[in-house]
Amino acid sequence: MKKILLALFCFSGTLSFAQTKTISGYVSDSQTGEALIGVNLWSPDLKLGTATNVYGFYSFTLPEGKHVLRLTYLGYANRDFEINLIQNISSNFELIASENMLNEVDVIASEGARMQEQVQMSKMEVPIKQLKSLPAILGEVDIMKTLQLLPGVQSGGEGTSGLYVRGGSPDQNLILLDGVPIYNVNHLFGFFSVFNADAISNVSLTKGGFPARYGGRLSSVLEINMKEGNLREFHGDATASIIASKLTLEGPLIKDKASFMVSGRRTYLDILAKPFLNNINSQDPNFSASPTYYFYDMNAKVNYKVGKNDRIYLSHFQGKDDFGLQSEDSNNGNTDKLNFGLDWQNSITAARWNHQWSPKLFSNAIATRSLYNFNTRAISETSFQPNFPDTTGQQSEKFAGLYFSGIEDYGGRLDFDYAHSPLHYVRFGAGYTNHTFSPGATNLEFASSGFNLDTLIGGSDVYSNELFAYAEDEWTVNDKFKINGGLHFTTLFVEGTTYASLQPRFGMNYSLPGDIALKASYADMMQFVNLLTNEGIGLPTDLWVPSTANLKPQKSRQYAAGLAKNLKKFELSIEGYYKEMDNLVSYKEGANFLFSLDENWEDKVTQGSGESYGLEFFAQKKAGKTNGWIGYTLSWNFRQFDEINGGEKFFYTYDRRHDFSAVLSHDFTENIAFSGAWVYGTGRAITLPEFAYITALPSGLGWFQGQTAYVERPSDKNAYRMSAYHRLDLSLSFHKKLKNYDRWWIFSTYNTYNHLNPFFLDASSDDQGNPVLREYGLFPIIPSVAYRIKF
Amino acid sequence: MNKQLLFILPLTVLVFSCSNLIDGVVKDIDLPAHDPQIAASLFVDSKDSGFAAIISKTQGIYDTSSTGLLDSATLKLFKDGTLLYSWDNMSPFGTYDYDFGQQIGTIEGDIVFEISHPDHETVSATQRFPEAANFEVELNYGDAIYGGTPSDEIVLTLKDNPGIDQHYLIEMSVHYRTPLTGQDTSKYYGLFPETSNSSVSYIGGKNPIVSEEGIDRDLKISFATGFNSIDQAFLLEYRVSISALSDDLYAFYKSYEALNQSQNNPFAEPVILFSNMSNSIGSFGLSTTTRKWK
Repeated sequence: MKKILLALFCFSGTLSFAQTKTISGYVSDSQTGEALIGVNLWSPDLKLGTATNVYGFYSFTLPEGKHVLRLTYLGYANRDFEINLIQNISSNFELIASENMLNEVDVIASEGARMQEQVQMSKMEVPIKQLKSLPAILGEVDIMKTLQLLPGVQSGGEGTSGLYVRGGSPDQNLILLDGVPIYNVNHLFGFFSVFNADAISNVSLTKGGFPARYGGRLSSVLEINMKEGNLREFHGDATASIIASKLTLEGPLIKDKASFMVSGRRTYLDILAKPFLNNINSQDPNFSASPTYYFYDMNAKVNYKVGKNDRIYLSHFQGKDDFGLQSEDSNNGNTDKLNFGLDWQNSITAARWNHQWSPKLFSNAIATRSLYNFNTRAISETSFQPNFPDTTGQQSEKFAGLYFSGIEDYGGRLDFDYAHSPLHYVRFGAGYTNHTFSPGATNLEFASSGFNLDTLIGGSDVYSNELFAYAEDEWTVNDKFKINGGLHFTTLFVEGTTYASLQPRFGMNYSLPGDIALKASYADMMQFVNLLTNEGIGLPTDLWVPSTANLKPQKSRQYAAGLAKNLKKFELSIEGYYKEMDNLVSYKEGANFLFSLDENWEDKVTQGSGESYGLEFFAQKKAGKTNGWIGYTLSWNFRQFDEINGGEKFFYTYDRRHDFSAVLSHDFTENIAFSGAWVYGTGRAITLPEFAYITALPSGLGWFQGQTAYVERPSDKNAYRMSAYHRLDLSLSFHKKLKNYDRWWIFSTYNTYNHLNPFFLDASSDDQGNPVLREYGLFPIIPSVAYRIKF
Repeated sequence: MNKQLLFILPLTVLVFSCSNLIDGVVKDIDLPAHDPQIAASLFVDSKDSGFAAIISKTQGIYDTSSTGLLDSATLKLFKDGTLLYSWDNMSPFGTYDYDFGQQIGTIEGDIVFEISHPDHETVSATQRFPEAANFEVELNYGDAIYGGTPSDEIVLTLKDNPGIDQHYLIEMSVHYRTPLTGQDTSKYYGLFPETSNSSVSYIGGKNPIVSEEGIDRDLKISFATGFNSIDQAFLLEYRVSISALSDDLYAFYKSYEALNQSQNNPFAEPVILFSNMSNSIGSFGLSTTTRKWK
C-alpha cells in the first residue's frame, strides 16, 4: 500500500508550483449553520477547484499570493472572496440560500457544480428541494421513487422501491444512510421507502466509474445524509397526508456549537380503520376479524463541535412495518382463532468523529451498527367439544409456524482526505465489518390431546468478517485533463474460506473543443452479500445470505464513456456503459424460500453470469423558476445460469429496452408551484406457461411401467413481455406565509390519466369461457392531499 | 387564466379517466398460436422385458383444442447406426409397447431413439447404457432408528468408477413371513429407507437418489430400513436394487422432482422439465440395474 501511495504522490512532479499554501475550513448555510456538502470552491485565475466533502470540510492548496475564491452551490448565491495566501489559513465560509434573497434569485443564484468539470462520471444528484416538490403517491414524497426517474435506474414494477441500476439487482446497491448500510428500504411491501425526505439533507447516486473509496456492491452507491440540525434557531416542520403524518424538529443545543434533529413518521390506517372494524364485527357476534397494518420510522441526529478541529456526530434510524390479521370464529361451542402476520424492521446507529490534523489532512472515523430482521407468524388455535361419549371437557389444538431471518453488522472505518498540492487530492482509508447472517429459521409448534411438538428447522447463523483498504488520487494533469486512479482491496473470511480481491479503479475527464468534457471510467467491483429473491413481488421475506465456502462472491467489471456539457442553465450528458457480472445468485428452477424447509438454503441457489450494456441521455435544469430533467435509457440486460433455462442466455426480468422520464417543476408565483413527472418503460420480461404434453415416467417415479404424467412447459426464461409501463403524476402546492408559520396545501394525483400498469398475470376466461391470460394492474388514479406547516 | 387552467386540466383528466377502476384488468394477452410438436419419452432399464414409450402431441396452454397421445407414430432404436428395433403399435393404454419376453440387459454403444410421424418432423435422442453399480451391502439387525423406533440398518458402499460421473437410484424391499401365521408372502414389499447422509435426496418422496456430482469417490451410506427383524423374526431377505442412471436420466429425475415441488406454488421459479430430444420436448433415458439380496 505504501508503494501505491508513493507512486501516486510521485505524479505530483509533472506539474508543480514553486511555493504553495493551504486554505481550509468548513462551508455552511448562513441561516442554519449546517454544513453544506459538495460546495464548489474555484480559483478562476488558475482554473483549479475543489469541493467540500460530506462533512462540509474543504482544503485548497494554492500558490502563495492573492487569489479570488469563488464559492458556488446549487440553490445558494455565488460568493467571491479575495484571499491573500502568505501562510496557511483556516477559514469557514457561509453561503446564503437563494430562497432567502427575494427578487435577486435569478440574477445571482448558482447552478451548482459544473458536471463537465468533474472527473467523476455516472453520478446523479437530486437537490432535496427539487425532490420534495415532485408529486408523490398518497402525498408521501419518496426518495427512491424519484431516483427511479433517473436514466440508468429502473423500478422493479408498480409501486416498488427497489432500484435496478444498469442491469444490476437491488442487492447490488450499497445504500448508506449517514455512512451505514441499510438492508431493506421498503415500507408497505415496497410502495414507500424508509427515507423520510424531511430528515434528509443530501442524496447522491453513483452508477459507475466508482472511485476507489467505494466498494462492497456491484452496481451503485446511494449516499443519503440526514440533516444535522439548525445550529442557531429552533424550527419545526409537520405534514399530514392521507395515510401518514410526520414531524421534524431541529435546533441548537448550544448555539453555534451543538444541534439536534429528530424526525418521526407513522401511518394511521390501523387507527382510522378501527371504528369501522368494530362496527362490522358487532354485526356478527360469532365472528370477528381485525386486520392491522402500520409502519413508522424515526431519524435522530446530534452533532457537536468539540473544538476548532473536531466534530462529533451521533445518528440513529429506526423503522418498522407490522402487518397482521387476527380472526375468531365461534360456533356451537367450537372456536377457531387465527393469527397471521409479518413484521420487519431496520435499525442503524452511527457515531462519527471528524478531525482536522493539519490544513491538508482531514479524517473521519465512524463506528456503525446495522440490523435488519423480519418475522412471519401463522398461528391457528382450535377449541372444540369432542363427539366421543367417553371424553369430557373442552379439547384444543394449536399449530404455530414462525419464520424469522435477519442480518446484523458491526463495523468501523477510517477515511482520510489529503489535499497534497493544487494538483493532487488524495483519499485513503480502511474499514472492517463483522456480519452475522440468520438466513432463515422455522419454528414449528403443534399441540393436541397431550401430544406436543416444538421444533426448530434451520436457523444456523453464518458469521463473516470483511476488511477493506483503498487509496485514490484525483490528479489535475493540466487545465484540460484530470484523472482519478486508485485501488480498492477487499477480503472476506467466512467458514474457513478466504476471498480476496484487488480492484483497480480509473476515471478521466478531458476537455474537448467547445467546452465539452470527454469522460471515461473503469471499475472492478466485488460483493460478499446476496439477496435471495423470487422474481416478482418484493416481499420482505427475501433473504440476505453471505458468500460462503460454496457460494463465491459476485464480481463485476464496468466500462463507461461519455460526453458532458454545461450550457448556461442546463447540464447535458450522454453516457454509454458495458458491464459484465460473474457469480450472480439465483434460486434454482422450482426453488423458493417456502415449503421446502428441510433443505439448506445453499442447496436452493445456483450461480451464473450477467451482461448489460446501454446508452443514457440526460438533460437537467436544476435552478430557476422552471426546472427538471429529461432522461432516456436504451439498454440490454442478460443472464446466464447453467442450471436455469437449459443453460441458455436469457433476458433479465428487468431488461428494459426503452426507459424515458420527463420531470418538470414550475413556480407560477411565489406561492403556487406545479410539478409533474411522466415515465415510460418497456414491459417486464416474464416467463409464461406455453404448452403441455404427456410424458412417460421412469421406474423410480412411477408405480408401474407405462405410468404417465401431464406436464406444463413454461416458455424459455423471460421470453415474453408485459405491456409497457407509463404514468403521469401531477402536483400543485399553495403556500401562504402566516404570522408565526408557513403553511402549504399540496394536491397531487398519482397515475393521473388512470393507465392501469401491469402488476401480475393470471389465467382467466373470456366472455365465451375460453381460457385467456390476463394482466392485472394495481393502482388506478390516486388523488391525495397533504397539509404542511413549517415554523 | 393560468390559475383557471390549473384546476380545469386535472379535473378534465380525472373525469375522463375513470373507465377501468372496477376490476383492475389491464388487458388480455394474445399469445401466438402454438404449433403442435411431438413429445416423445422412453425410459429403458436393463431389467425391463420390453419398451413402453409415450408419444404425445403438445398443446398450447390456452388452446381450446384437446391434447392427447399421438397415434400412427413409428419408433426405432438404432445401435451405432444399425437398426435394432422398429415398432408402431399403440396399446389400448396409450403406450407404444415392444415386448421381448425376457430381460433386455445392456447394449453396448450409442443407442439412438427416433420417432417419426406423418404430420410432424422426426425427432431423436442418443444415449448409452451406464455401467452397472459396483457395490457392497452390509446388514446390521436393529442398529438404526427409524421414526423413533429401532430398525435394521443397511450400509451401502458404492465403489468409484474413476473418470465417470456416477448417479444411482436406490430401491430396497423386504420379503418376510407374516408374524401371525408364519405364511410366506412370496412378495417383496417396497421400503422407504431413511438416511441422514446429506448427499442423498429423495425422488417422488420414496426412492433415494445419489450422485457423485463430479467428484470421483467411493460413497458409503447408512440407511434405516424401517423394518426391524429383531421384533419381526420372520425376515427372509432384503433386496437392494441399485440402478445406475445415464447423465440425462439423472437430470430428468432431478428436474421432475423440482417440477413436482413447484406445483401450485406461486413463489416458485418456473421449471422446464429436462429434455434431451432433438426438439427439446420429451426424454430418452437408460439405466442399468443390479440387485443384491441379504
